Amino acid sequence: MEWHLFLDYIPKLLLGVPITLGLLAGALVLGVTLGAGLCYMRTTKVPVLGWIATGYISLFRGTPLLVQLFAIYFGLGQFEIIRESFAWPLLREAWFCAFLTLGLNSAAFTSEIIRGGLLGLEKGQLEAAKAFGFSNWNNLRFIILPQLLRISIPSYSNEIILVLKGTSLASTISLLEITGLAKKLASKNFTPFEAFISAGIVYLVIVFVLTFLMRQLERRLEH
Amino acid sequence: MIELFSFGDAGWGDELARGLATTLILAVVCFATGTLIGLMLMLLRRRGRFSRMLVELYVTVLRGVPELLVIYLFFFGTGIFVRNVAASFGYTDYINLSGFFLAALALTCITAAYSAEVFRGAARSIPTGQAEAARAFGFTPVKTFRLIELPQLLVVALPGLGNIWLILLKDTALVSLTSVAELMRQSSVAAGATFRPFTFYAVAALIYFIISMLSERAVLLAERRVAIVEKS
Amino acid sequence: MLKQLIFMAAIAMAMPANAETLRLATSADYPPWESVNSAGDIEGFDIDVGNAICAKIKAECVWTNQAYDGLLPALEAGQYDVIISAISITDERKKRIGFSAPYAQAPSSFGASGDTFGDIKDRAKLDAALTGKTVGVQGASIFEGLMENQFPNTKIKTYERADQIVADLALGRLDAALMETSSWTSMSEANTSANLKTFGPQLTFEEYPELGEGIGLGFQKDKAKLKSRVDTAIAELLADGTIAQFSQTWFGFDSTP
Repeated sequence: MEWHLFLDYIPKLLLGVPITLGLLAGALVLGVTLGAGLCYMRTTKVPVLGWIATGYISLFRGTPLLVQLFAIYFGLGQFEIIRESFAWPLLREAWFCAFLTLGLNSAAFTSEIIRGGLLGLEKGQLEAAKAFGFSNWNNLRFIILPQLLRISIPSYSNEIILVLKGTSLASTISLLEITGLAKKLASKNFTPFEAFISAGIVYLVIVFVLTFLMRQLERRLEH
Repeated sequence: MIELFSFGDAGWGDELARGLATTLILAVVCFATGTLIGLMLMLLRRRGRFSRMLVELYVTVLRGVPELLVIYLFFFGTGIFVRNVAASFGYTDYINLSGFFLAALALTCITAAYSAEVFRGAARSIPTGQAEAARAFGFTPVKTFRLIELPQLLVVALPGLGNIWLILLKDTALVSLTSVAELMRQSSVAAGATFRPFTFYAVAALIYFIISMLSERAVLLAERRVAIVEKS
Repeated sequence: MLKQLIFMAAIAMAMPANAETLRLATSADYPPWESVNSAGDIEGFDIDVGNAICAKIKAECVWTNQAYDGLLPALEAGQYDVIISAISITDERKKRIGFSAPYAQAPSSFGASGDTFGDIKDRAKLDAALTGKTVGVQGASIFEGLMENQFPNTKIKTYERADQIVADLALGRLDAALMETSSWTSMSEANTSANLKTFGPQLTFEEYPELGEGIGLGFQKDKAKLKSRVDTAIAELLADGTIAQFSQTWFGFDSTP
């Protein structure tokens, strides 16, 4: 092993960090929005909506992320109707496909986290809020959301790390994020060991930073 | 449409079936070896501070690094590493490691890290008084573990292990990127050769989905049976 | 006839005592250079060339099929005597292994879906046409380095397989791609709807040193004697048209240097 290569490679791999974090942030926003929607669909009294949401969740949770990514990136272009639709200029872009897949996937897991959090809320608190005359909106804002956030943060931290790891698949559709750059360095200089370990170090640092930030958030919510 | 999936030279049915078999073999082998190593890691944690730190480092690294990267590292890097180590012991013949073996090794290491955490959580739920009582009856530590702790551990760990199986099953698809001919790889090759990518990825997704659903059912059934046994 | 047979039998019987075996390795996943046929045997242009060289230097070929990324390390470790796997003779690789004289060229060219680029005759026009365009290449290939050095004003996208490049050309995600001419031929046969067209002049080693000075056999660096014997055999096989004939069979054109 050539140790000096680590010093050489890590700065080069840092160039991929913006794409990795951009994908992560985008996917998380899409995941939370869509995940909350899915959760709402499951709690309404309309059975069809509930079925759709349940089906969506088990489909995305039950199939590999790579299959989802390839079905969207390589697959959707098979249909002329999609190639001629307004969405095609977006779907043509590898970045958009990676973001979309990661977000759709994360939504399935996030909605389960939100549901778990709602189940954890104590019913009594909601009733007490109602008794105090809180409106539904204020109820949501001041009572439910903070509680929900506090209950869900540990499992959502996990989800963030899972999505971060998922962004590495973007390298398979030609995006040069951290893993993509590492693969390039590995094959160009015949140094797979050094290149992939350097990338692993970069990922671990990101994981530590994210975990630390989430811990801080958790602590602040407790007070 | 049907002929695309027929068996024989014209269709891709036999290729997909062989790929599915490889996927299942890979998942079963890695699950068995991975959880066994995970159990050993959990026991290793108890042997003092140094071994606990080592296990924690291993678990943190393997859980924090993308699975794809671990697979690339093993697939592209291990050959060179193993050969260098062998050479330092004076063994200079070329050691050829198959892609399947390296992929299985990578997935085993990942599974071991995840299951070590599941076992650790499960072990905490078993009261320590039991082990003390067993020892008071003259049980050796090995016997205590085998007869008292392990059965309960497996029961408590069952849902977690079921989860690991589902994650592992999905992770096997990543191995396709190192040209191991499992289900995803065969679907991808078929997609490229027939220029029907969506068709083949959708079929692959459906197959993974069915296995996932069946596995979930099986885990639920197992949990229910265990619950009945526990009550009686 | 009988005399000849007896003579050959005598040689055959004498052979085992001092017969030389040549251990060749290839990565049989790059048709038509080398691939595994439905019977499970390796076949292709390189296999024919390798067998012909063995016959010339009176050695017995022992073939091994193994992954491309392990070929160089295995050769360096002395597991094989020769590697033959459409390997371009590049300076980078020369640092690690010895090469025979080139036995083939791998002409490469740009291509696109449809006639978007029109008629391009020279390098200057090629540069202008490709500026700002997205060009696909196979990852870890010589083409990736070539694009970076020679066409820095293009956006390069790397793919695992040629069929994925073709798919993205057809979908308009790529404006153009750089591949071996033989890949363009087989790809356009497999996918007529993509309407693949090569454009511009074929890329040559003189203009693009990244391509390497041709395709060669690899040896360990210190095997000078083996190299000179193989080089002589290659020269003879090139002179008598044997390699040209293999090339016609597998590529449909003459790829000899």
